Amino acid sequence: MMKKKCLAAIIVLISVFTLLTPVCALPDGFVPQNSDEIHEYADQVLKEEILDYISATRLNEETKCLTADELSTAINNYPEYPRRITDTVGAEIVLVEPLNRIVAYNFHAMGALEAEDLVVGVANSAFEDACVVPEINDKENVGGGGPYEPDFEKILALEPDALLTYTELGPGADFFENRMPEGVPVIRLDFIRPWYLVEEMEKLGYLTDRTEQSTEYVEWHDGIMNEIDNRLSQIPEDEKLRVFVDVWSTTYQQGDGNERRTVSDADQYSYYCNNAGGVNVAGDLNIPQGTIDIEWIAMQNPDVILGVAYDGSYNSDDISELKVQYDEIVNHPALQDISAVRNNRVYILSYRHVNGLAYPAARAQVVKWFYPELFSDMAPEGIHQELVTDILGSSFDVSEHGVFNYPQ
Amino acid sequence: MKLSNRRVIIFTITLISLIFICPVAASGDQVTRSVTPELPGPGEVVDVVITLPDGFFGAVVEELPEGFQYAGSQHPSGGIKFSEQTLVFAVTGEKEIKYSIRIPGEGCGWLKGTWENLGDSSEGDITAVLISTPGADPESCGSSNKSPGFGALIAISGCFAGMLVLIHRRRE
Repeated sequence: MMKKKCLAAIIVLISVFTLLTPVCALPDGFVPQNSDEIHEYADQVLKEEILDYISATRLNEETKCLTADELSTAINNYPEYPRRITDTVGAEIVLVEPLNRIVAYNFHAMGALEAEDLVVGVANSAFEDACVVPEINDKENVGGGGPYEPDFEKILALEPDALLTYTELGPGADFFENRMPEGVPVIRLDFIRPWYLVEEMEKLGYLTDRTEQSTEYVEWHDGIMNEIDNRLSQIPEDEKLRVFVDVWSTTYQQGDGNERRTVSDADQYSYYCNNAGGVNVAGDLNIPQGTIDIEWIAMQNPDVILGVAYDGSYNSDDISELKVQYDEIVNHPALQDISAVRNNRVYILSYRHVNGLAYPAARAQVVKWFYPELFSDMAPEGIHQELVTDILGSSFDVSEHGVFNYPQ
Repeated sequence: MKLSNRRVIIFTITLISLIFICPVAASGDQVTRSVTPELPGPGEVVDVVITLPDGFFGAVVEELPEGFQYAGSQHPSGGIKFSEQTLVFAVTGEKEIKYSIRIPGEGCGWLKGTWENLGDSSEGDITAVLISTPGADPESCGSSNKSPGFGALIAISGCFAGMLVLIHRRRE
């Protein structure tokens, strides 16, 4: 009898506790990807923003908060807005209404998100991809790209409601954040670092109200990446290939040709080797990127040389852009006896191919180079074409045009 | 002309009711508060319900009397801030806010509050409520400052005036 009473009491207590416990807040870093999640998160964000506003205006706390007008706009657009993310440099971005006039200094993801119509201006360098995303040709060229600064007056004249740019490439905070009009956020997302690709696509898809498209990309991305991960997991650590990563650019050609530029594991380009099941022979070097004597490479006797060229793109049909790096390596007298050269295992990738949305296709190419038997049925070019056709919606044929890797 | 006792009672009740209704009507309150139980015992938890109008998006700021402790709420945790004796609720369309406060062993105080609707840029006060334990010294309760206000004073005056007139007429 006593036991029954205790049990009943416990059940009652659990029921009461369950009913009284408030719904848990969504976790930090959460990026909504469907309508229910967007509405639920908008509610959480709006509540937090209201608390910040009251803290600042009534409790005299020094808190960064939205203005009353911004909150009023958010309320008018509720529950679709507000939307909030933390960008890749850690800045909190809060939108209170839909974006319609984006200056996409970084245009990489806009085609995949079918968000070209939201863009009013792009960097000069974006036009290189116009052969795949022709809508770029309709956008205002704000200049910049590479080492050049954009025309800030031109950006302002476009009256943007947001500026999308890179974390490190291009101008910094002094140029953009500190000069943009109040209320126009500078969003820093890269789409050139593979480990951030999914997260950044989800964030931009959410901000531009293109979550269906970002989900499509993420599903495509994860499908390929998971398949590669599964197969690579079968390779024992001591059977992984030893790889020399050769980072090449005409601007690095110097001296008597007896030095090569390489990277340690602290550099992004080492990731392309390690992520494909290779072991970077220069991984422990104490500088992220630097030159190394050709004799050192010969002593390491790598199984494979993976070159990354600062060349190649969708708008080039000149394979010599990559072949010149290949030829330098395979023809160097000091490298004739190393395994990689003797066994014809020297491969060159275009940096534009690996630094972007096509990374799963580029990775598929590298793993197939590294472990041809394990990935014999994988078709990197076909994977690349899926991205171009199904996600970018382009008729561009990657087997006919573009320079992405060598040997092809 | 003589008035019946019944009419006097009805008139008096109506006027007394006005004392309580007047402050609400006078400030045009859109937001109201109820507290249960009305006469709590020492150390007891009282439940407070703030009722909000449709389409309210903004904040309710409650000031708890000294010695009173915030004891929890069913409002989403991300929409509550409690600092010292100030309790802030962010509201996104909810019709009511429920929260609890634990009153001290003995004492009293005015529960005061304000609201701000950011959707239509309006704001106002919530009628203050006196919470007191049995035997507490009313002198120590402080002042509501906001309530019952002039409306109530007028109503009280009117009530007494009305009663005097009625009594006078009955004696005639």
